[in-house]
Formats: sequence, C-alpha cells, structure tokens
Amino acid sequence: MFDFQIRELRLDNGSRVLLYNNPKQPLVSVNLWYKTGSANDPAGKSGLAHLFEHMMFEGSLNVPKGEHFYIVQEAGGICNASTSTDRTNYYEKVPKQYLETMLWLEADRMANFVAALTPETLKNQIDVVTNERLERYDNQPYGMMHEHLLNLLYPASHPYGKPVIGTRDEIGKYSMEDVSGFFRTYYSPANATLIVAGDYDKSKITGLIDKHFGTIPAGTDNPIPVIDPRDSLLPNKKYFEYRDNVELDYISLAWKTAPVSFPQNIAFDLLGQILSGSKSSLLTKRLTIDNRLAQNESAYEISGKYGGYFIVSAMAKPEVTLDTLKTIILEEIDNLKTSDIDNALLNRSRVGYISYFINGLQSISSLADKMNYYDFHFGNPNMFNDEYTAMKTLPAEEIKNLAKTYLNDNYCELRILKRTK
Amino acid sequence: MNTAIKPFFPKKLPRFTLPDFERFEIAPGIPVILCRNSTVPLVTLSFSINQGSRGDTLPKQGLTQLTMQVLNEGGGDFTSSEFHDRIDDLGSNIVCFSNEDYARIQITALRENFADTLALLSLMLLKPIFSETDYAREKNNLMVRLSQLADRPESIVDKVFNDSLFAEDHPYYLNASGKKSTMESITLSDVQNRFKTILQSGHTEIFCAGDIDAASLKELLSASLSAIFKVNPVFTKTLLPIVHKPAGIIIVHKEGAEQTELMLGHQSIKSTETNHVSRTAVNSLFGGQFSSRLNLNLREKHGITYGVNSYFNSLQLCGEFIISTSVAPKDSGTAIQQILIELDKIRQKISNKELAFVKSSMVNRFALNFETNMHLIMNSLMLRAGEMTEDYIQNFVPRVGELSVDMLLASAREHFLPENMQIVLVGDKVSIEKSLADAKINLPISYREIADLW
Repeated sequence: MFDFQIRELRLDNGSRVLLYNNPKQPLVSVNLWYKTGSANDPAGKSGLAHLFEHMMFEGSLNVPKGEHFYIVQEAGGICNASTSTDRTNYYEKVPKQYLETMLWLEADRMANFVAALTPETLKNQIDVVTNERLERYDNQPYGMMHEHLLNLLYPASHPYGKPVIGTRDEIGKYSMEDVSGFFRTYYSPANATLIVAGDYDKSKITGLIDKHFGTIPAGTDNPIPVIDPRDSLLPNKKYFEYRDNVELDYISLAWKTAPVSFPQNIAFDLLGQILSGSKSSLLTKRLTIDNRLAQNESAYEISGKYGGYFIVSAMAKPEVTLDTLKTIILEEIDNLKTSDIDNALLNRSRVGYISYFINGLQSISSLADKMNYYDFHFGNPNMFNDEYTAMKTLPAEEIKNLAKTYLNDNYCELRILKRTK
Repeated sequence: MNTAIKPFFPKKLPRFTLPDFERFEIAPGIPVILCRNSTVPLVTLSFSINQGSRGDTLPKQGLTQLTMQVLNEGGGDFTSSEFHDRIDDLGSNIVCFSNEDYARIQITALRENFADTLALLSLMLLKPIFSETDYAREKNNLMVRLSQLADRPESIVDKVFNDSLFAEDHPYYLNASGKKSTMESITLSDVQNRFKTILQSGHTEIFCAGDIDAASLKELLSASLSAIFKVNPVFTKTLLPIVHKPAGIIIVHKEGAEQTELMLGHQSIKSTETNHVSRTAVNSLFGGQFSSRLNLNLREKHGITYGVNSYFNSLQLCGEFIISTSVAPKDSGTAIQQILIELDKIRQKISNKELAFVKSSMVNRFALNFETNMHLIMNSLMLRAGEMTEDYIQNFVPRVGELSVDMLLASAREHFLPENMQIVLVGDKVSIEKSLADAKINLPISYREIADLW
C-alpha cells in the first residue's frame, strides 16, 4: 500500500544518496541528515552539535552569511534544520526549477564550511542560541522538565545526559577550534545521507548530484569517536523535585527502555496510545475525564541510538496531590501488566495511529524526512509498509510484554511544584 | 566541483496550475468550496459559522469558547465517552473551536470513514449531549487554564496588547477565553442558548479538501445536514473605523522572568484585494521572514533574540499590525530602539534589489501553498463570502508582478505607523526600566498587573 520506489546510490566519497520521484506537485525536497547530534558533544561543551547547526547557516566559501536563507526564500522555498541526540538534519523545499541551486547550497557548506567561519559569526550565534534557550526553556513554565529528567535518567557522561541545546553554564564555551574540529570530524560526505524527493527530472538527477556532491573529498582529518553508552536499566528508584513559576503541580515518571528498534518502537507508540491517546485511554479516562484529578496527562517513549525512556506525566488539578496521581498511574500500569489489553481500546489506538501516519504522508518534505529516519535507524528508507503493517497487526501480547519488561519498580520520579509566593 | 559558480537561478515565473476550487450549494443556501487532493486517502472539512467570541457579552466573556468546548463532547443518545469511542474507532477527528469571528468545526477522516464521521457530526449538531457532567468538567478545565495563563509570558503579552489596542466598548476587546469571574457566571443554559444562536443566526460556509469528488460530497452533506440547518442567514458585516492612539509603553512585571516578552503594533485596516499583495510584500521585507530587515538586525547583527517577526492579523471587522520577539531583560530597550529605527527606515527607502527579491519570493512561494489538505482549506478560507474572490487567487502572480518600489513605500507609510505603536513588555520591571532609560526610549509608560488580567 505504501511502497515508495526509492533509488539508492553511493557516491565514491562515501555519501549515501536516496532518490524518490513524485511528480504530483511541482515541488522538490532536499533533505540531508548528518549522523551526528548532541550525543557527540565533547565533555563540558554540551550544545556544540546544536550550535554547529546554527553555524551552518552563517556562510560557506561561496555563500556569504545570511545568503542561504536569502537564496531559498528568493526561490519561494522554505528551509531549516534541527538537531536531535543522534542526528542533525538540513532541508529545503522549493519549486522544482530551483533544485540545482539547493544542491549547490548544501554542497558548498559540506565542502567549504570552514572557509567562512569567523569569531564574529561564532559569537553572534552563541548569543542567538543563548536567547533560544531562554525563550524555549528557562522562561517557560515547566520548561526545565526534560533537562531535570535527563539528569535523573543518565549520568552526565552518557551521550544523552545533557540537553540538546546545552546546559546553561556550558552554552558559549565553544572555541573556533571546537567548531572547525566538529566539522572535520562529523560533516564528511560519508557521514551524510542526502535525499531528493519530488518532481525532478529523472534523466538528469544523478548528473546533478554528481556535479555538486560527487567531487567533495571523502577524507576526514579526524576519525569519528566511538560512543560507548554503557547504559543499563535503572538499578533503583530516583527522585527529584523543584519549584517553578507554575500554577499546577506536575509529576513525571520515567522508565529506561532500550535503543530504538523495529517494531518495538511501534509497540511503544501503541502503549502510549493505550495509556493516553484518546478519551477512553486508560489514564485519560481515569485521571482527566472521569475523576477530574488531572488537567492533562501524557504517555510516550523517546528512544534513540544509545537508549530510550518511557515517560508518563500528569498535571494535577488544584487541591489534588501528586501522590494521588502517582498511585493511579502505577495502578494502571500494573493492570496493563497483569490483565489483557481491551481489544476495542487496542484497535482504537491502532486506527488512530494509522490515521496520523497517513496524514503525515501529504507533504513531500515530511516524506523525505521519514525516509531518512528509517534509513538512519534501520538501514532501509522504505519501511512505510512495515510500519503500517506493524500498527495494524502487532499482537497485544507484545505490547503487554513491553510493560512487563521495562515499566518495573525502578523509575525516575520528577515533581514540579508551584512556587510559594 | 566548482561551487564558486552559483547555478543558473531561473527568473521566469514558474509554471504552476492552480488546483480547481469547485463551488456548489447545499440547501438551504449553504456555500461549499471543494478542492480535490488525492495525494493520500484523507478528507478534511471545515464548517465555519460567523458567530465568534465577539458575540459574547462583557459579563459572559468566554461563553462561545465554552460552548464549542462542550459541543466537542458529542451528540445523540451517547455519553461523551461512547461518542468519542466511535470517532476514535474510525480514526477520525472532530474538533470544535472558536476565535473572535467564527465558530468552527473541523473534521479529518480517512476517505473510507468520511461518511460515518459526517453522520457522527450530524448527531452532534442535531442533538448535542450538553450534559451537566461534561459542562462542569469542561468549564473547570477552562477556568484552570485561565489561571495558568498568568505563567505564560506569551499569553500575558497577548492579552495586554489586545487591551491596549481596543477600548472596552470595542467588539475585539472581549477576551475569547473569558475571565475567571465571567466564566464562573456562565450556566449550562447559557451554553445551550449560545449554541442555538450560533446555528440559527450565523452564516455557515463549508470548506473541504481531500480525496472526494463534488457529487459525493454534495450528496453526503445534504443527507447529513438538511435536518440541522433550516436557513442560512445572509453574511453581513460592517467594517469598524480604525482608531489609533499615540505611541506608549505598557510594562507588566513578571516575577522571576528570565526574558522580556515584547509585542508592538497598532490597529490596521483589514486585508482586501487592493492592499493584500503590497502590504504582504512590504511586511515580508520588514519582518515577515527570516531574511527580513528586523531579523537581520536583531538576530543576525545584534544577536539579542532567537527570532523576531511581524505580521498583519486580519480580523473580520478590522485588522492589527503586530511585531513580536523575546529578548534578555537588559536588551529590552535596544530591541525597541532597533525596531523603531527599522520602521523609520523602511518608510524612507526600499531598494530595487529588495523589490526583485520579494517579488521572486512571493511568486515562487505560491506553489508551496497548495500542497496539503490544510493548505487548501486555508486558501479556501480566503475565498469566504465577502472576502477575496477566486479571481484574486487566479491573478495573484500577475498582481505581484505589477508591484513597484513606490507601491511598497506607499504601503509601508500607510500601514507601519511608529507614532501609534503600542508597546507591551512583560518581564522584570526594574531591568526593563533601566534598559529603556539606557536606550533613551522616551515614551509615556504605564503599568498593568498580571493579577488583574484574568
């Protein structure tokens, strides 16, 4: 049903290229994943991978500062980038006639980033990232939740032990050498996968890619350090609480899981849906709908190359204690482990997920990014059918087993409490 | 590879065929606009009724929002849980919400389940549950959410800015989410009556995008809605006069704020076919996209923000021009100073290079606006009664081609009014005051308290 015809190439310099032709709309998406993220931040310099993502827009040998966005916008396109723990993606979506210009932009910074690096651009982007952190985390109610949770879940030395954006005291401690060294280590063609998706000329596409990416030297001066996460499930319970400028108390319980794998990732998604995906989900019904104990609740897994965690959270209504919420959350999880999963609820969770999945296939840039996701984690960009089938057929027993295996007595508990005025 | 040579950058207009917007009516005179999109087997449909929160009264602010929230609970002889189980079994979504001008219901469904989803919607409109339990729960949710708004700098700045633009007797002064005191006074009977008014007095329009043909859609809509809508009142509106105030500053002290949340702007006329292209273009250069003058100044030159943007908000009866950003407290004054400088500059000079850039950007961008069902619905909404015509969309590209530097300058002078800027800052009062003094911003300052807002 969702079998996309994807052509796979490997350039001589090691760069992986995936091509998906779809002429339904006169648009083309360029989606480039570098296999590096905050897991590769050096000790004491958290946030460097994310800062580097910003620096990639600050110019390269033939593209002056500010020109990348300017050129894409002149072409009527959109572009951006994002950094996760494991990878950094860069993408453009433009009317099809501007494809070559986009390939040129990406190739120039892959080949020639260092040539344009200056102390001024570095300082400027450190200032911008500092403001980004303030705006998105420090100055937001509950904004520090994930950072505190990571502190509980992982030792600081773990690749996921620090937030992607960097800790407050480490943002800005980056030198010119840090930035150029990061580029030389992680931004080689062999560490990247390029996807071109959309309405391109099939007879010309390999020529264009070869022209712009094919002759970028493969060599990287610095070998990519091997990460040994030394991760394990939690040996005991952990607890942390802090006060914030919030009106409602909040509780999160988090269990260590495992690195992302298929179809376990789908099973975790379904588990999250069963707990908190619809009005009849177990926690939603009990906490939020029937008893009005929580303002909202959520349950989902976050997993990557070096580990994962399943997190259940709830925001207490005024006068409701976090102990009450915690008791119900743990009761429902115990019920999941010991009783059969209600068939109607499971089917509802499946069909909801399928609908969401299909909705996400409308945009050519979302498709390209999903292909890169599959390829990065599972070595196969065309897993749409596998995901769809898994959502439809994954046995209830497998979902239940996940709960039994991972949602045990050793969890991290984080409480955010209303600051006393 | 020779990357020194930028590849040929095509300057000719892209060839792009607009999707067809099919129009028809279902009884009793309800207009439907359909844009077919068979990329994926999904259908998205939006009911738009011109009965938004400005229909609330001052003592019952928040009534429309609460009504739509309770309507969400479902209909027929089901309980809310049973109703939602049925929606979820189909993998569909039905969401009821409102803004200042409209009450809206939006459906997303797999093509194969669209008819069943419409049948559920029909139940919801014909016989909404409106139970005491659902009403009490949703009202409590909204009231708790109101108390949470005081934690969010974006909500505070938004509320104070709105109050600074519109006087108490203005329809847009009313707060869509209400106040705790007004929400408290709303009864279930108020909700039921408001729902009746919305259905009976509001002009209804239907917008659909997705994998369905006009004949099938017409048949399904007629079958599911004929018992609900007896008349479709004529769409009427009287534009409101634009009221400008002298520039001034309002500071809202927020304990422990790590940043200052900033919003500047003034009332503006609403978008029309005459002004839309030119002021979209000039705003695009000023603060409408990443390469705008504001972003290049505040972010890329001074490094004092993660981002800044400006936009025209077109309401049904008037409009707003808004600039917003967040900066460290010490940079509050510099941010305002630089924004005012850029406002002045763009009213003085726009280069031919900028004109060429913005024309290219707008024309080329056009094709991206028709990719997904939601894009198509957004475009259809522009075509609603009394707003833009299809001719406007058909001729958008040539209209952009006609833009000149003089037209953009005229637009900047007409629509960017530094002397009328209402400036709201939410953050640490002492740091803000010092920063304003350091930057020599000498505008009258007044103060609001968070505790008084909701």
